[in-house]
Amino acid sequence: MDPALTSNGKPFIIKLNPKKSNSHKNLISIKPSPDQVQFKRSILGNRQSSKVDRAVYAVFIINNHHGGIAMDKLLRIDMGGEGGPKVAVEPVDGYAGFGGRALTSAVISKEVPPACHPLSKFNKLVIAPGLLSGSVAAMSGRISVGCKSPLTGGIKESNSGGQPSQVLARLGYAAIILEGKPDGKDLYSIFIDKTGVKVAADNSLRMLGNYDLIEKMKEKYGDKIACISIGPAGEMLLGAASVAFTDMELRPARHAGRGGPGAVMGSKGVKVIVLDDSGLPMREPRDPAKYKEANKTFVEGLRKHGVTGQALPAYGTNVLANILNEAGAYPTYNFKQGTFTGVSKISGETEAALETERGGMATHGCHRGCVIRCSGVYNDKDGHYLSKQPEYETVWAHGADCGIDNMDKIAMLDFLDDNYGLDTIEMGVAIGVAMEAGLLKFGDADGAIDLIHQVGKGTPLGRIIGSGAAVTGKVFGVERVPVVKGQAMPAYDPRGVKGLGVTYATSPMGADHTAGYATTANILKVGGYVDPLKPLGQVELSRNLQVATAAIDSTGMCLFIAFAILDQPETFQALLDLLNAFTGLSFTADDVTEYGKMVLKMERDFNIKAGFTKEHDRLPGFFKTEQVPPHNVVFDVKDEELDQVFNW
Amino acid sequence: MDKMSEKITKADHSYLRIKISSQPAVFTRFYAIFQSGFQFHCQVGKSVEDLLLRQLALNPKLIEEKVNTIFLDGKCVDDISSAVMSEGSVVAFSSALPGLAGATLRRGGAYACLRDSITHRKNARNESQREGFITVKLFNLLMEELGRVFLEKGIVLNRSAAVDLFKTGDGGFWRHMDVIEVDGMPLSSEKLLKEIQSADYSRIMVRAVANSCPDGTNCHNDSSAIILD
Repeated sequence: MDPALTSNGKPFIIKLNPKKSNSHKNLISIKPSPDQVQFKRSILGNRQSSKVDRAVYAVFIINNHHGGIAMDKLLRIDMGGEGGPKVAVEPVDGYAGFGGRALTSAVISKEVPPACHPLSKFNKLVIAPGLLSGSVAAMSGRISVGCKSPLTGGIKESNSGGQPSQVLARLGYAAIILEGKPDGKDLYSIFIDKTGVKVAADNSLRMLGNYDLIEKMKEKYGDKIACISIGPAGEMLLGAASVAFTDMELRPARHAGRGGPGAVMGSKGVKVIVLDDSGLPMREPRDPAKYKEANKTFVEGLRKHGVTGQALPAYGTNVLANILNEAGAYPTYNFKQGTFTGVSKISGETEAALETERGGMATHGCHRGCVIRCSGVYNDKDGHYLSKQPEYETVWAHGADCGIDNMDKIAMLDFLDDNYGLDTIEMGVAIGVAMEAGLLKFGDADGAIDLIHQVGKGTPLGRIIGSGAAVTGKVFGVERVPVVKGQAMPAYDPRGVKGLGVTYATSPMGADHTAGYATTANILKVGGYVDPLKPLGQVELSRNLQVATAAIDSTGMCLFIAFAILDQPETFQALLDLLNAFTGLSFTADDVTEYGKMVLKMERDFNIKAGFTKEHDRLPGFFKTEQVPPHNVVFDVKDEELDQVFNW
Repeated sequence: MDKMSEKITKADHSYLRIKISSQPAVFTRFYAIFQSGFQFHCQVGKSVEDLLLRQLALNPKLIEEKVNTIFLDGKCVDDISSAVMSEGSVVAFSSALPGLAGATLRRGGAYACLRDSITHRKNARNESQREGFITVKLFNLLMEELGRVFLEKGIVLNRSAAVDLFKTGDGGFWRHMDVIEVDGMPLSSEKLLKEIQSADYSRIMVRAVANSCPDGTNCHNDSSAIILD
């Protein structure tokens, strides 16, 4: 560990290009070592010579030597090590201060050659909890999975809920980094507890669905574990393969779905990572009294807000279905129209009523410490568990996009996606494209279920569908393929809600509804006030929202806190107070913004080196020419405006 | 096309009138209808604000805090005072919704520009003010908050929707129903469905009054209610 970090326990800040006035507290006289500066520059670039770059690339070095567990280690597992997988535990060093998405993107942008094949030994899979994970902070259980995406060919951060984030953080790991590629065809399981790491070949796990796999892990290790796994889709290296995370009930129902991270994990030969934090305490904050107070205020704010305290717990994310349909922006029949006549049969309100009637749960948290509890449990008509409550995106993708209005069939499709390890959005859209191609009729739910089974079994048709919507469209000669950078579009038609289209087009992640999902109360004031009534505001808003999301993704916080912190200044302040009480720093809204910009810059730079140009920041052509009923609008944001999103 | 979406060219008071007096639990049976839409007899040519504040006599605080998302004929409403309803208009109400999409569609929200092309603009022409029908949809938490209010005033269904509503009621549904009246005359639950199926009306008005509020208090003394006819 570098002496500069441990000598007096105070955090310090490195300013690589100090052109802004000093807004940071706790700046002390200890200078970083030349090696540290060089390391940071190798990630962020040498900005001193840049004339157009006015941003301050500030990196917050967080002293993690709290009273409890320090998340100060990286666990590197070289799956292609000579003689077998090699485990190395090393200090975070230059990655200190990065968490969640910031860490995954930092590692990928620094260590993965942008032009490498995503399934090669040169790609890496980084699994990182957020900065606050493992503590008692409410809503802090999200985890990030980073890699070069086999689906988009660009950088990917895929986010998930579940228990593993908190467990991994309490084990003291800032990240697990899977590297290399095994020579043989063995499949491996990895077990991590406070005593160390064990990597073992276990081919009895081959082609197990995630649910059966977790049952086996429970038999072997007990039920105090948390698991990260891939299903058959990941083993088959399919572009839509997800990484599954177990929830509080040890169901593999939470997924890092977007962009095919499951295929990268499969290419490393890793089937499951089992985590056990038995005997380990929660991570302690620097200032426990302030932390407790901030957490209390934060939770109160979430509970009293109409969205986080009532709508989401009562109806889950699928509460959006009716209103998006009313807006004419609920993509139906493969984005052919914006309304679905069957929407009330598959709405969040209907879903919640069915769950309650059948003895399931209409409200449920995906990780301990979640107070919003937007998930649930969906039982079949006989009262037996069928799936976790399907989310808005899943219900839309397998529902309206495919013309299916049967909630039970949609729940079955959700279960199959979870079990085979597939991104529900990519699968729904791919099946919608297949329906457009005439493989199935729109509305054929049983046909859709059969297709998912084919994916899980790896039939030739299954492999096509499992490779995602873009591949499916190409193979069957379909023009209307709703993807950006090769990733399927989520459940909002960009012709109706054009600002979301700006984010779909420009996000480094491909078409991603969560990239510009969050905001802070101050974000509109940073870099100038944006008049929301002016059309040009869409570009500025998309930029600011992407920046804020990148920052929040790095903390481990669930993005659903966004509405409460937007509406209630005291709740936003409580979030800042939580961060500051935990780290001992004095983050302001400006600091959070700079952090988010840093993350986005790393991701954009990687994509540019991977061969992406501004022509990739575009929606498919049909969105500009094909009017979507009922409003009969097109996406008419100019290309020149899209190119302004990242012009800071 | 869904019959509820068809425009009605003149106000038509010819419908079978059913009034039920029941426990609040019965109201959840109407949630599917609230989502798909029901007709409501009101003053058209008036603004959405007039509907909420005057015609339904809702508390302004409730409107401000809970009625967060409004659509008029598929367009997102920011200014309820200038959003004027026509005969046959479709008005949808929801409480706050999650995520960027929810924030974007929110009434008067900071992200309104992200959905500029589907924002409701002030009506170019004046609508004549008279009695008429609109279609109302209720979503989210407003199914409970506003559903009761609309039921007390009376919602109008087509015959098939009314048959579905009463046909699929289970034992609990009927047990919670205390009094049923059809055109002012008491009727048993066993005869109600037959009456709906055989009556010479294509539309049915259903008024439902709760015997007690969900919190157990007496709801009949709500003096802010206005009876239209």
